[in-house]
Amino acid sequence: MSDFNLYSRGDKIFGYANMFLIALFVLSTLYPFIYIAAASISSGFAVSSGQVVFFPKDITFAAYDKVLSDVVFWKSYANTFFYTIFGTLVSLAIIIPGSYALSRPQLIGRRYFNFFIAFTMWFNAGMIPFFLNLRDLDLLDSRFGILIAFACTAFNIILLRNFFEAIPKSFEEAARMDGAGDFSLLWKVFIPLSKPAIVTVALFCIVARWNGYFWAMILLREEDKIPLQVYLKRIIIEANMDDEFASTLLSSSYSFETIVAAIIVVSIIPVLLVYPYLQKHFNKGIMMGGVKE
Amino acid sequence: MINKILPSTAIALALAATSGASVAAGDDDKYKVTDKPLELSIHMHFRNKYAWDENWPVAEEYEKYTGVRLKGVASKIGTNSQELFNLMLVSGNLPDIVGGNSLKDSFIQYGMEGAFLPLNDMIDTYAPNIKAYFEKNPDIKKAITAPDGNIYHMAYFPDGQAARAYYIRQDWLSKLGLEQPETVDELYEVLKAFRDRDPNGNGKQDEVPAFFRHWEEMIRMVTLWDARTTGTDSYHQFYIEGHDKVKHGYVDETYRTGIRNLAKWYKEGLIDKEVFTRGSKAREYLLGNNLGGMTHDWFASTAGYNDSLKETIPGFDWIPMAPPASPSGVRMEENGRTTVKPDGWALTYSNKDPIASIKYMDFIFTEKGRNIANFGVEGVHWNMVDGKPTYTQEVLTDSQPVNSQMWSIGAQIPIGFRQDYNYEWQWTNEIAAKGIELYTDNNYIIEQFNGVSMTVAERLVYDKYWPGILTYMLEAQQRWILGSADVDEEWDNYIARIKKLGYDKVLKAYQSAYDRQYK
Repeated sequence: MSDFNLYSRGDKIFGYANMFLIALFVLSTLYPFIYIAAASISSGFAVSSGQVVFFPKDITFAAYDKVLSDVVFWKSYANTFFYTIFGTLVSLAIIIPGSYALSRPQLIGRRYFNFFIAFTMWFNAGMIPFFLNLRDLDLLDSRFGILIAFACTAFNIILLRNFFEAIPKSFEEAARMDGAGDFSLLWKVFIPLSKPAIVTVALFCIVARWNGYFWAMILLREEDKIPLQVYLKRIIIEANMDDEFASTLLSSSYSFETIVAAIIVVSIIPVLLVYPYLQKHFNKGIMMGGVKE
Repeated sequence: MINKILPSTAIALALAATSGASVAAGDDDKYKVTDKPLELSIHMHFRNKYAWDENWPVAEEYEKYTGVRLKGVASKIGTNSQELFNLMLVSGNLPDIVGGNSLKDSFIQYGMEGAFLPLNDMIDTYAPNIKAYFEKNPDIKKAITAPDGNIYHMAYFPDGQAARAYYIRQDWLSKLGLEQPETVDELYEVLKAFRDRDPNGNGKQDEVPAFFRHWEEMIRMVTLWDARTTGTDSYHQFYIEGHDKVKHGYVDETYRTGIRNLAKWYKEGLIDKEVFTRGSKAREYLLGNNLGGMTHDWFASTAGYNDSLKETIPGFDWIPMAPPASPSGVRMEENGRTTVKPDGWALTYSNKDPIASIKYMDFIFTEKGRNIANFGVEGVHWNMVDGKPTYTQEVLTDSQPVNSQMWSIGAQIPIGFRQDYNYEWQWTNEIAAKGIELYTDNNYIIEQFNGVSMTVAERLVYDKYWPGILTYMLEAQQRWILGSADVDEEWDNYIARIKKLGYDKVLKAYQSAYDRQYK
């Protein structure tokens, strides 16, 4: 050890305790991943009899064979990509101009619009009126319905609006001097300046779309249109239909549980790939959106 | 994968397309219910997964004979049948027919409000087969009758009696030189031997003498002391004492005795210490690891472990045993199959052609229709052998269990039909079959109660008081079993508290519903 030790003993202990706690935290979030991954390549019996704890047992890829050879799986996987990509684009196309307009003091009735949008964060009509509304708009069982009906959330609009409001006035004044209208002002000044916030909003949309289950289940009727989450839920229901006759599955190398595990593994891979790249913006975006000058 | 259409289904579809023309005209017309082809809509979503599909081989077979095509309008991808039923109702566009599982209360409630048609007169006039069935089984007719005296739905009538049974490790008994327990006291000794004498031979006292997937099945062991836990095929329901008196098992003196003994067994380690938390994996885990000694569970699936474990556990022999006799000498199996399920289908008020619809329902009560509803398409899934519908080898040897094959072609689904136990018997595991014979031949299985339909007033009382009472009962139950309180010390307070919570009012409402319906 050198004589120029920057850290006192207390500092060191604090550091180790920190590391220990963080390691615990990491373990507790990592373990479910490990377990699911291990379960997906173990035999059905090993999983249901509780022999898989950390490492896979009786390694077999039968569950993946089953999942990957199912046409419906691939269709629903493709649908989830469709809903996620286009859903996010539609959301941004609505949220960005909407937030921009709401952030401009010259908008007539701005307070009222803001109030009515914020109002929906606390109060909503409930499931059945919403369903009836969509039915009357003829949006049942349609991909377009899924894209448009859930494109916009009040929280995202307000987040972005606050961010836009925080951009100093002088930017706008300068741009207007140069002859920019509202459209080029938004496109050339506000959007480039608010990238972190927009990425954050996009990330919220992506996550919501990727996980979207309930309304897709209620609104869609045809197998061709279902997202992965609905497909997964069907498999899980099948797994729970147990009772009288389920035991025949014991003898095969896969079980509903290993199939569910395999589907989960396959379905989180894209999220695992994309998340790290977006996350750095995510942190910044949240903080900047929250502060107002 | 799981949802994929079975190979046999594909064949059936091909055959159904061609065979329509080849049926002799006379036979074909006998069951026709309309002159010209008719299409009706049906919302039928059941078991949170399946939706009526007019392309099911069975649906096409019905269509071939009756001339009526039922077009499914329920979402094929839904995963919550009740939710879809509610949404269908509120959306206002009712289809011609509505069906599904666990809808009896809805059929009756909304039927009395006018959403569904009363069927009584139509059955008398247009449905001779249903009528004949009701005449032979008046209690079944009573069971589906609404408080206003009308019938609003045709229910699913299961067949067969046996449901769950006591299973025991016969190879452990032999190894320890013991006999199958004939009485509850002998059972106690056997379980103690399982605990102490290392029947799995690993040198450790790790055996779990009695285990259960559902802790309610452990509570059900109070029947070994003549108590009751339920009257129907669901847990914690009222039962009928004698022939006319509604009672609940959890206030009986015998129940107190039963719980006292179970608490003792639990404390001594004869009952799985994790019985309340282990859940549905209990069988796989405890049998698979050669730890479990006895249980109370479904005949068919429990017997299946003999096949799946015969290689991993040498000598594994896991068989149903007769219910041990209670101290008063009664052998009772409380759990059996009900004769009426709360499932079925009903005609909506906006039905285009109620007469054709009821005739269609009646077709399913003819022998021809009943065979289709039970076994699928003749010549594809089954053939007549010695006057009995018998499954083809392909069906019996497919890697999917027969029942799930049947569901995927539209047979054995919760429409209004009479189940034929023969459907299940053909593929019942030999060990289970022997046990079922043991149970039915000796009449161990007590008669199941089909429940009541309440008027609005009765229902209000029931809904107001019963949930609170039941919660309290179950809390006390768990406390006593786990040993945190003593049943004998608490019993008087317990009964007083239940009365205070309104037990007598609930009982009165239930009794009045029962009297109206069954007396």
